[in-house]
Amino acid sequence: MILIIDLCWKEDSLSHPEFVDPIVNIVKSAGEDFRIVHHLLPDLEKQDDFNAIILCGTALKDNGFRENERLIELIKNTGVPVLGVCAGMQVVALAYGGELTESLEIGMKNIVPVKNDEIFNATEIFEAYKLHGMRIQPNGNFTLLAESVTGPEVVKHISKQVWGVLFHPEVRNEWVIGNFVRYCCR
Amino acid sequence: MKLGVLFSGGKDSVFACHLAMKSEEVVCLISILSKNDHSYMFHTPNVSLSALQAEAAGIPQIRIESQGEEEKELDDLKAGIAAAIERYDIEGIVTGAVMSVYQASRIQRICRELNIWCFSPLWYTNQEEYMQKIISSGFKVIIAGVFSYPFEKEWLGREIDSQLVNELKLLSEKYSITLSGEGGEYESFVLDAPFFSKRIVIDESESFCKNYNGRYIIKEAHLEEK
Repeated sequence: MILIIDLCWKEDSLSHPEFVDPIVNIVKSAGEDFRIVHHLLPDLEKQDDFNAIILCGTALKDNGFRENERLIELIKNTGVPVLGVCAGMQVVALAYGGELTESLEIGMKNIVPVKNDEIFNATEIFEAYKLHGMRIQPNGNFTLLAESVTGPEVVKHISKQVWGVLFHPEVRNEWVIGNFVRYCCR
Repeated sequence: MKLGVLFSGGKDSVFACHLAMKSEEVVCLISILSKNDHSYMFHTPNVSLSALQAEAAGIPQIRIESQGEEEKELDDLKAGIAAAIERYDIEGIVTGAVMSVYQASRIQRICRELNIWCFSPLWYTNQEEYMQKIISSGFKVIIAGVFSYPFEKEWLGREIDSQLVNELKLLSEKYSITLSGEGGEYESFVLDAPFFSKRIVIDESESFCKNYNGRYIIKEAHLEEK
């Protein structure tokens, strides 16, 4: 069972079908059960039955999730694998260290693999869809798995099963989420 | 949140409008009337009839004419959105983008420049479920243009119903076409939607098609009470 956390500005927002549902569709295709919980709901803390957590992205103008200390604490203390996508990567940085800096990128960009692991196993440069106003400058807690000309794109915590992906893998790079789901539910 | 919908009159923009109206306040429609039939950005068949749809929906419409030159048409779109901010105080726009990163990223950039929200509620939606929802939600949509093999003249003007979706499914398994026409294989026009208070009735139309490239032109139409 995967816990999919909706980071959008309110529950059942108009951003939900754009940033949460495409990830839900990939989890469904991988044959895994899931529960979607909005980051501001009390249910967020009831996460014992889950194999993994996916933190979805949200709209460019949406920054409210950064103020949710309960969410950041949950990610910091969880024992299950975490995949943070775009805004979700920011939450990973807020939980484990890493500076957030302004960096606006919209559209398809080249991603260069640096190091492979269980979920990120690309060998060649590939294109990915970017939609972000901020990026993270990882600290020593993270290993760099992929980068672009503008900075880190995929990072993994050095000792925890926590990944952050800056681009949107649900668009044209579904394999990243598929690998994560299969790895966590194997 | 007050929103404007980028409105071409095709199924995607009208369905996106329908979704937006469920949770937010749609205060205007923004339509770009492109003179370029092959615009990558804007849907073109019968877009001039979007005024009739706006009237049927009872939502004010901002209409911007564009020569449709690549990239310059983005300035026209930006002007249309800026006019909506000025006149209707919108805080965001809604698009019917389904899979086109070309469209989506250009609209996202304009929204960023104008400091407003951008919503694409059909983004990467499950195409088969989406087509079924169009039918089950009470939309009446016809095929208004075909632009790829194997679509011929008999597709023009056909209503999107379960039989048509089944035929599209068979074709999508055989040829590289998307079920929703997102790759530009076909275009559509909405005659009725759940949020229309009146429906569009076509009085006179004309179809032409050559080399799997055809259009269904609505020459005269009127509104009727539902």
